[in-house]
Amino acid sequence: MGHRSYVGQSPPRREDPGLVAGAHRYVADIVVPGCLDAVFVRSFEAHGLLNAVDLAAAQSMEGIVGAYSAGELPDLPVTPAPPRAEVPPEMSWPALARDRVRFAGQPIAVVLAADRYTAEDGAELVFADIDPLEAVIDPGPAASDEVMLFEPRSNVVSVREFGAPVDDVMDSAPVVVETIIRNERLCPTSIETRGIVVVPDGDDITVHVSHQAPQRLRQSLARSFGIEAELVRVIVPHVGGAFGAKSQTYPEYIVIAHLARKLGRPVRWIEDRREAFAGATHGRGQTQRLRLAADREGNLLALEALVDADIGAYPHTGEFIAANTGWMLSGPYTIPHLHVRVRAVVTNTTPTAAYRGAGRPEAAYALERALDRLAHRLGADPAELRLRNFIDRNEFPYRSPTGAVYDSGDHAAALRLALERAGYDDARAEQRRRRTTGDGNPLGIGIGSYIERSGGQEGSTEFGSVTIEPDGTVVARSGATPQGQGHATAFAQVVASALEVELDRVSVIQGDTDEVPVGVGTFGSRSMQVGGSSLHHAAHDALEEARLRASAHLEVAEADLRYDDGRFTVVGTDRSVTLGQLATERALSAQAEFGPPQAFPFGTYVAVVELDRDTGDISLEKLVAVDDCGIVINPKLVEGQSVGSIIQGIGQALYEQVVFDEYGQPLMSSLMDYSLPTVAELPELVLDQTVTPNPNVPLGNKGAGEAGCIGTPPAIVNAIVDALGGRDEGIDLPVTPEKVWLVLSRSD
Amino acid sequence: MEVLQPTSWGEALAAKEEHPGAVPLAGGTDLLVELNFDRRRPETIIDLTRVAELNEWSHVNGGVRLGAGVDYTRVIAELASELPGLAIASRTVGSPQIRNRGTVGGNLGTSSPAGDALPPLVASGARIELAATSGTRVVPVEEFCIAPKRNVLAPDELIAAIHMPVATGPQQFSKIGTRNAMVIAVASFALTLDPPARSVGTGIGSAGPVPLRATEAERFLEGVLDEEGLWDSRGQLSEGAVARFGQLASEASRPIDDVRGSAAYRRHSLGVMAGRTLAWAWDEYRGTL
Repeated sequence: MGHRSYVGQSPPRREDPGLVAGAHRYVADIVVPGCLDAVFVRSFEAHGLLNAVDLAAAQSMEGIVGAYSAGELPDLPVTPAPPRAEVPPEMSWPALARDRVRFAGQPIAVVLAADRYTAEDGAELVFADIDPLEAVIDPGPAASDEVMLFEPRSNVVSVREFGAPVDDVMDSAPVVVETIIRNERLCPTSIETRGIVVVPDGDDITVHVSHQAPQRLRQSLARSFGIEAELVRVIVPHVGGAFGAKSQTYPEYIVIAHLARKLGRPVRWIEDRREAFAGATHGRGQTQRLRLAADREGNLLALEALVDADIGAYPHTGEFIAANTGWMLSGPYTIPHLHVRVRAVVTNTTPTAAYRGAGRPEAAYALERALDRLAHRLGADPAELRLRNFIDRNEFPYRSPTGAVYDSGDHAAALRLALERAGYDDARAEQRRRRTTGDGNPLGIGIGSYIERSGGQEGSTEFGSVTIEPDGTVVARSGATPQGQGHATAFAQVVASALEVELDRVSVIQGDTDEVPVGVGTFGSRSMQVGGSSLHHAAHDALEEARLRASAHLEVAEADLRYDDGRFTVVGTDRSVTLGQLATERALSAQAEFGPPQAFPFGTYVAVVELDRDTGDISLEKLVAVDDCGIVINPKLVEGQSVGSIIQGIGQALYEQVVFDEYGQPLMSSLMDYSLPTVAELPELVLDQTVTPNPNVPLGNKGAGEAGCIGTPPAIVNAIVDALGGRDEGIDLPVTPEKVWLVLSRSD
Repeated sequence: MEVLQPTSWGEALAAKEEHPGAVPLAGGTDLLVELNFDRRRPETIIDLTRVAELNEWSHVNGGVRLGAGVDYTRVIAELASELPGLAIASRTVGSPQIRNRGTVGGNLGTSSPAGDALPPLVASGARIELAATSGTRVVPVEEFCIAPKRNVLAPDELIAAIHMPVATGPQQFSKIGTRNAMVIAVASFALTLDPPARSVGTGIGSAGPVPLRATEAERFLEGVLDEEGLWDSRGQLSEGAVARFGQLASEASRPIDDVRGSAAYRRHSLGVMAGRTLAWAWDEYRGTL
């Protein structure tokens, strides 16, 4: 690292002036002359036989350019499965329903017009003749195959096992706690919904889309349409949030691209909020049965987890998200015997996919709730129980019983810091005082320790290139594509630090496959860890190339060159050459596709809650978050990620839940029904960190951004249960005042 | 869809007479949601926002005549001392943007039992002025709402104003929802104490098909206050009386189970809110607040 380093600094976000001024342009802002607006007709039944789709009235309406169901588009490709998901071909997700509908909100037909208003009116004239079938909503009953979605195939799409059965340990263990946990479905709810504009030009298509992984989408579209990837250009403009739900290829995208190609006209689709609730993907959605065994001192002996993941009507990204849960279920603890079985089960609900945390919040919540049950059973302090079982800092790298290799960690240090920042001992003393005297409302203190995984799939790389321009400016290109995180700021810091040049000289290009043809994308907290590392390597390689050229140019040995601020100078002389000059003769550029091992950020959250004895109202008084994501490149960006993720964690703990009725009808169709936390729900937030460098990347950083929604829910719910004296019957996510009141009223 | 934009009250009433099926639009905070979700599709909308007369309030016969188009922000800013219960409830409505648009008249027009402004109107015995080209009538607020989202407005009528007595004593409002703000109430309760008249008023929201009064709770509390001479002595209310008041308020509700909360929790929380609002109001009356 040179003397001019921006690592650890928080320069102003380059993204902010445009945001503040409203100058950013999103997909819906893109104006393409002659563009048609598409409106989808969606199934109103959760499960049924699609007998016919009558398009005649829509087709004959004035202003309607076209109306199509699957029948009119025989060569419409199916929705491509993500590379990692195990999707049997007979369970593939049609882009428009054929013969059968399997969730309310599934696209059945599409109507095109020159404007959205007309297209909406046309869509209303489409009549779908559906014979309803019995719907199955819950993965438990669905797994019994009494109602089948894809006869004769079982609803259980896949079963993944980690470890081997531990019944013998359970039978002989001194203490076994059991719990059933329902990790409810959530809606990712980005401010900007999905949107796509496809502009055909001969055989080429240009796709403007709100997306996390443009290069992957490009490959996926090319494969779907059987064309060369070079014919597809994907451009991601500014994106208003994604949270994992914009990383895949959706049925709507296939339909829009297909129609644009078929008609030779630009077509766009901008999702509305109601569609986002029913027709986009949901996150979470698991039922988990846990057994945790320990000795009387609290040393963990075995963990068994039987997980049923409700992946919705069609196996897609959700199919392997559930595997992440299994993979992370041993958490930051030494658990000698482990057996996890994860079943991915289809139901007549909206398909699931990644949502911030993507499998890890489900794992951390289950394990941390089980640990608190164990602490309660043993009469042990939950902090002590965790300290007793943490993987020791000297045992890293550590191979978990599920096969994950944790790179580094000091879990006890993070927990101790969190306790200190929470005033744990004082809070416990106050809790004892209230319990003894009966004064005041019940007070609870809850801990959520976590370990998560950053970097995306093991071995996955990211593309980064660094080009020195003749004018001395530097252009960095990355496959990591932002959705508001601040990549342009942080990547510039990495490159400017490696080249030892002024930050302002570095610009960052992302999100256009013409500019960055190769890349993987932004998800799984991987951008800085993987993409940042690639840029670091590329910048170093470019600098080394420059040094070689400078040596030749100035006709001295490299050892006689001094490098400073973009200029090589022959030591002891005033003879020098700049990076820009070196780039004038011949392009000066380097690229890297680095694929470091996954990293395992960790930390401990502590929540303090007070319950209203009469109404059950939950007042989240304080939330302490101690995260360790290794060396931090830009503290302000990491803080922003933490706060946003924590708020989403608060949402899962206390407010958010996607609800279907028994017929599979979604009961949440707007932000009036689906309660997101607002700023009024924010507690006192205390953010702190420990720093355990990632040994596998040059800058020592791990991923940041998902920790908050992983650590927060267990901390809050454990605090609520603690305030209730350990009684947790009915205290399911989200914990509402009514659920708390029911517990309070049973005991009073 | 036809949108009429009368600029005077006379024009508005004439438009309503001519288009009896027309739906009036004030702040639009309810109506536009309904239209967006395609729950209704009126052929005609009468936009009342240009009718200046609706946006005024005045003193009439010692009370307040609140034009149906006065928004919540103005109620809070201009009427907090005269209509404190309505002002407290108005502060809990939506977000600042919603309070800038939403109106008390619109809340009445929607006639949702969850309308935040309605319990204070019930607790204070508000009277609703309805107008048509043929004339004007005044109905008590309790008779105005007749079922969820249904009221006694005739096809040719519009809500002109709300008449409320100026507060003579403490008024309170409490609401419980699924988060702190911007929610549809799970249950709400409004309380009015009228010391000169020696009377108590109550209003229950989100716990019945229409906003309700807890008449027995009112009579009970009036009895206690009279028998114990508490209106004059400003003495302490017994815990037992507060609890009984809460219980009677709870029993007056007729809630249902829905996705926001169960009937049992609504009943329970109403009892708690009634007791608490009474304790706050009585403390205020005693001057101990």
